[in-house]
Amino acid sequence: MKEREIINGVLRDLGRRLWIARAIREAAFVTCVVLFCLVCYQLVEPSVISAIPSARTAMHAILLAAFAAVAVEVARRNARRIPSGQAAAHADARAHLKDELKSAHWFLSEDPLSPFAELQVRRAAVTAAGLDLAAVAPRTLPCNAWLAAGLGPALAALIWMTPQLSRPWEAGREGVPAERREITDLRSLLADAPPDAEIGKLDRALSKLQKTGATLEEKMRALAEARDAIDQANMDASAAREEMAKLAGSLKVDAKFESVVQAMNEGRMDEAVALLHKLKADAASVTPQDQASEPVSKDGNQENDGNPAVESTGRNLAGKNAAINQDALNRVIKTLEQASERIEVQNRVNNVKRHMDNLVATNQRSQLTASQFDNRTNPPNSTPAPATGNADVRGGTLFRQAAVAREEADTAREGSQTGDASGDSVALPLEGAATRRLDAQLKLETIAQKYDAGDQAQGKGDAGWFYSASREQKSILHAEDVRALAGYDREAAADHDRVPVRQKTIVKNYFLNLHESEKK
Amino acid sequence: MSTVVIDREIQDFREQFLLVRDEIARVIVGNEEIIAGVMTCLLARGHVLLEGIPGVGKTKLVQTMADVLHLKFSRIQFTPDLMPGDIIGTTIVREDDSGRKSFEFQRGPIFANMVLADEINRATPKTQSALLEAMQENSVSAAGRTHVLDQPFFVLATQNPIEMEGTYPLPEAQMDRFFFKLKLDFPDVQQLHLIIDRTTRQAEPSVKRVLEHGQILQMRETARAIPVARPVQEYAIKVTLATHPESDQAHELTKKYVRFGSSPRGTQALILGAKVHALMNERVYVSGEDIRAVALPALRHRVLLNFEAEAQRMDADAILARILEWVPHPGE
Repeated sequence: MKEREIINGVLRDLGRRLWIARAIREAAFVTCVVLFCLVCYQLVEPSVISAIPSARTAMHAILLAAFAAVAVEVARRNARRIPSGQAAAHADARAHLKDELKSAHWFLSEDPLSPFAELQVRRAAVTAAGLDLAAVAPRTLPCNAWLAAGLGPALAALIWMTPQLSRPWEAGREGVPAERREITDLRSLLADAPPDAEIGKLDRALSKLQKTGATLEEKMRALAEARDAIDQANMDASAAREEMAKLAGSLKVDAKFESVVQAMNEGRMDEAVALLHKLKADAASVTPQDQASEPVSKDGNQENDGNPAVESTGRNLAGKNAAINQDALNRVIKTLEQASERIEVQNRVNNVKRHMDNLVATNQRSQLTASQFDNRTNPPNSTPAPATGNADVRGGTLFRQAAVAREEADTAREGSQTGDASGDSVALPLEGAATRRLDAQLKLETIAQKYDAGDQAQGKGDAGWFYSASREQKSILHAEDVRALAGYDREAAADHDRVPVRQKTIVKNYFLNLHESEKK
Repeated sequence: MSTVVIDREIQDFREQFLLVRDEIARVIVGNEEIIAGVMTCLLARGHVLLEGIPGVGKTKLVQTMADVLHLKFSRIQFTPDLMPGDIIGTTIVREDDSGRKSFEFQRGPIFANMVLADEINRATPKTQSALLEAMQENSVSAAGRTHVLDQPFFVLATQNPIEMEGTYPLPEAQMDRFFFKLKLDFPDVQQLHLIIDRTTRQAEPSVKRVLEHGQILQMRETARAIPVARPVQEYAIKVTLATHPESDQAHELTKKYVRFGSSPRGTQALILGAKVHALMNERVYVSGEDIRAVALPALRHRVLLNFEAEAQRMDADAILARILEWVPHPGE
């Protein structure tokens, strides 16, 4: 029977295509499952290994066994061919054939066929012959399989490429050697620094910090020592800058040192030293006899870093217009070289400080808070301010590390505006009309009110110093007060500030007139 | 029988079916599905129960159908005082010219091809049961004799679902003997316009007889000859079993709301109705779609709900619709 062959042939082809499509689909599914298992393994493995170090081999074996089992199961399922009846049902469903092929397939199993069944088989054969098998059973993956197949590798790649994401618990463990490496780098920054006591202290503190097995307390102490050394180096550099500023002020008297002063003001120490060496050489060739006649200095302490010595050296150097004192010049050169070294030290330690802050900021998320890296704990006053003597703030130190070189127009009080190296300024003396003590003024105000009340009772008028109201005015004001009493009570109930207006005025005027010379 | 002849038979079946439907539609507005359902019952050798509120055209539909089909028609108005003898007939004493007296069976209105049992739930159960043998066996026993009814024998019963006072709801056994239970809904606005246009003029539309007695019997034979594949038959059985609360294949709604499921007559009705439906769609095999198309009218009166279903206003149609969605289609 021709129709039988046609239907069976089509169903056979269809079954083969369905089998291939099923194999592709299940292979994609298995791939996704394997990827998912690998990702899970990647996530779980470190914690399991850390708990049971010998479990790695067992986990690998279990994983491989699971993969093998899945592969065997999929292979077993795909080993079974698609039956013709199932292929017919699939074609009916996909091509909307209303069970035509399935019925025909079942009728073909009956023998003999009834006339109606024979007609049905004939019609089904025509339908089967015109069936587009590629449309009924496409060999492509369904959209969700593509999506899963795409997302799986992407997720796996993301997890493998991002260690922090895949193994956050290892970040802390790897952080220890990373911190040591970082400190080694910091110490290398100090390697070729000029010899200095603060550099030595800082290096020792860093070595303590780097030590293996150091406790948290030891690290904290080492950090505090490092910060102390850095602060001291900054203070030394500030002092050196001040000296240079003073030295430049004394040298600029002489026109010969104009270029030297300019180089010093601009911070070009090497150039200033070179210019001084040149001047020294010139002076030695021109007036050797004058140098002998000039006394170097009345002050024998040439190495003193104090301002008077430096200024006197400068004055000695620039005192003569024609000749240059060689010894004074040597001292200036030496001072400049020392200042240059201190500034260099400052640059080094500040560089180390910057990197150290970064290191602390990186580590503080898991180990320490910012306040623990401060060089002082338990600040005595919770309100940090230079005037109160409390310079502690969380995670930092409240003072200006670099002093500002004084300018020509600076006054003695300039420090209060620009700040000085110690971070505080001298309080200005009280002056002006408001120098009477504030508490005394407020007490007087109270007494005046009492006195005012006594006068009022006797009808003598107001003897206070604000103003004297007439009886009519007082009567009006009193009536207004009575009228406004209810409203005042309501307002007063909601008002926390019950300070009289006149006392407020006293306080305001006190601070406004505290320093009359300043522009308000 | 050659396939060409069968092809011709199928074509004739469809043409005659559509001819009857169109002729009835000249009088009856809308209700194409109801007309098709009634025709399906007629061609599947079943009986139909029409349910609807008064005035929606139940009786008119049956009368029109009787006019269209060249069949002997009788109408029985069921009332509480109607007796079984009024339906099947009675034995009377007849005296001939010679003065000899003898008993003679006087046939009742059931001896017709189409019997309209109007408002069947108004008669007593005793009278209602008089229809049982006739509907199932196509014969009537009276005075010790069995009288075979002429074929086609087709009972169309109507009942009103809202006026329940003084009525006798049909017992389950009798309900089961109806092939389909069809519900007539209230017509929509367009259909009301058409009804008024057709029925309030001087001349009402008339129909002509388009189908002869023999043609109907031939169509019945054709419908019975349609083969059913085993997967489709299994599907019909699964649907039936899903209505049985005690069955392993029962739906969860069935277990909750159904007291008794469909009888095997329900499965028969599913298959036979599906055959007619397949022929109507020019197919010579039954598909799952045909089963689903006739499932509601074939099973709704065979599924008996429990008190909880009535309390929650759950009807059989909703449960059957869920079952049809739930049962896997043939071949799945």
